[in-house]
Amino acid sequence: MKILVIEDEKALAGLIEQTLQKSGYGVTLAGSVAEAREKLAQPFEAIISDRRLPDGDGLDLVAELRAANNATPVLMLTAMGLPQERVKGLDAGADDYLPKPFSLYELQARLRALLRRSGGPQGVKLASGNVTLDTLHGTVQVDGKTVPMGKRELSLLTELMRRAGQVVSKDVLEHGAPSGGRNALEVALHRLRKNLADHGADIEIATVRGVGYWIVDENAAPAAQ
Amino acid sequence: MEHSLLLRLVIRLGLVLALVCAGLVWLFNNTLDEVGDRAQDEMLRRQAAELLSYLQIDRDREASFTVPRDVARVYRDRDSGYVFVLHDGQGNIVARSHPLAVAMLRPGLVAVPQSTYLDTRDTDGKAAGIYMLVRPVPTPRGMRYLTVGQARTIDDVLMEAAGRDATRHLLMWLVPAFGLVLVTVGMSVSESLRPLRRLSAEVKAVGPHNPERQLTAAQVPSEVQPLVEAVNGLLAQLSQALAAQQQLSADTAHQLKTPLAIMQARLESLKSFNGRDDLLADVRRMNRLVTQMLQYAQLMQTDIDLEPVNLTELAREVMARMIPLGHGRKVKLAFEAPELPVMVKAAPLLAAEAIQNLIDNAIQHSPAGKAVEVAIGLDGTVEIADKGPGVPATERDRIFSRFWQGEGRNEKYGSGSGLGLAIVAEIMRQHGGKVKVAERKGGGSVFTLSFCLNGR
Repeated sequence: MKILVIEDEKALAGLIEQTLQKSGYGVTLAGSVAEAREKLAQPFEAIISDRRLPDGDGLDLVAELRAANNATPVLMLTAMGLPQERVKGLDAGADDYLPKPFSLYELQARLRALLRRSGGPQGVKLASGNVTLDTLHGTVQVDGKTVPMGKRELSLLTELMRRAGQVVSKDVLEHGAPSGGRNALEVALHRLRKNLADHGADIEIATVRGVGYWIVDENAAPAAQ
Repeated sequence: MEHSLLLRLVIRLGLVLALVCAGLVWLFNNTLDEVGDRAQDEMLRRQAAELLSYLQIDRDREASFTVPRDVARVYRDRDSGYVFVLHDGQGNIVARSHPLAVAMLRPGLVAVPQSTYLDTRDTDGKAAGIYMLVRPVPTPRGMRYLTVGQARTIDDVLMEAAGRDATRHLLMWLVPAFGLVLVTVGMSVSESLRPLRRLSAEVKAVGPHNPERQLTAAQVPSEVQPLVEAVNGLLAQLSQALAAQQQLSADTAHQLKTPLAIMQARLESLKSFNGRDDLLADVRRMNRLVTQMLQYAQLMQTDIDLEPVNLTELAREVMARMIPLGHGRKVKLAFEAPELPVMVKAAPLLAAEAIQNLIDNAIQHSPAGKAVEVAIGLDGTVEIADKGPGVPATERDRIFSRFWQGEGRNEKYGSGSGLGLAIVAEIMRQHGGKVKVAERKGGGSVFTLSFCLNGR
């Protein structure tokens, strides 16, 4: 997996590079918007970009990419504090936003989530605990053994595993299956939980009354800043 | 009140006008009396002159009157009011109009001034004033004195009544006229002061979030104009100083972020060593503080736009973000909301920030295994209840000021920077809402955010 890191602060760029390399990513560094444009001649799986760069705003670069139909997921780093600034970044086409100063652990978690979400046509393999899910083939395995699963259960599990460690609202989960009564979602989730438990899965789908559901992931970084 | 310009002016002017009014009435009355007296004197003089023209010295050299018949009839008639007595100044009567005249003129038969008015008793005991005049008459047998009198008649009484009427008339015009003067003065003063009231409202509206505001000098009385200009000058200076100060803290916070990020990243990428986790915790605390400083500085510099927002949805989103954080600290989050949407006027991102800060705060202060309860009220409130140590009643007002931290709480809850609640309070102030904290039954505290309902 190749990642482009656009950061003019050399020390920080170096630390990010080290960390990501340790986790098995291929890292390319760029110290300015101009340099990033050059490097972007080749494709990347994801881009991590600072906002304030010596020759411009990282957001403008993202807008440029999006205008050129380049959908590479972008994680913006920035020192801007207020939520408006974060939203400005997301509106400009960035996929996620990590305010400085951040933890390298969180950076990695966000990057993982970003890559997970943007499966693209080739699909991704999602993993939580001893459960793995192949989005391309629609197969679920617990400890390497395939678990048979209905279409509704599979789509629910996919949504929850894509956002493992985050609470997914009822609205989002119901979006995939508009049919069914008031309790259709609860019934499907009950079946999913039972199916996973019967096959020895060690993940927990927790209910937060009035808010939504989530796969409790002890290792996932909290999405909140 | 005693410093009210309007009140002072009205009282003083009222006093002056009352004095003027009394003076005018007195002068008017006096003039009327004087005119009456003078007329009376003239009549007495004419009466005396007429009588003296009929004076004769008879054979025994005594003075006597030979009065034409029609005049004599008047003097004989007791009801005519005209009387005279001629005497020698020692009480001896030489001549008189009729016997009663002596009694009527008794006070005028000794030393009497030129002319006077006396209250005497009539023959039937009724009060009957009389005007009298004394004229010396030299005769061969010595000095005689003619005392003439005119009893007060019905005409005099009518005249006096007319005088009183005139005074009353004068007052009837004077009092409303002076009242009108007072009201006019009061109104014009009050009107001239109205721009001052507007000015104070304007000054009140100036705060740290809009120090660039200036007072409008339009319609302000020219006497007050220099004050307005001076205040505007002061405001401009303060605004510049404040902007510089805010810019400095924003810049400082901003500049601190990158080195701090590097420090944190370095620590995280190092192999574990003794004390690394403590150092990391310290750096994270500094990070938090710097982030909040920047947020606060930006918040003070922005004006916010309010729009209709479903409070339940907003809080639900914040809950979804905060639940994993709570889970990491073994704090459960519970959410309660009415079925109906609760529409409030809010800037959604900032309102979410306020809710998030309070939930974060509650999680930080909750003991492990306890729940933080978030409830939405139909009146546009968000309640966040924790089972932490609670806020002592004496500190409840102060916790929303900058850099407050409860005594002895630093050790236990080192992660707080002291700016989180100040940010919440500032966000709520900008929303025209408020934040308050109360004790929770059974221990802990309840923070309540109150927003304005949409359409109110």
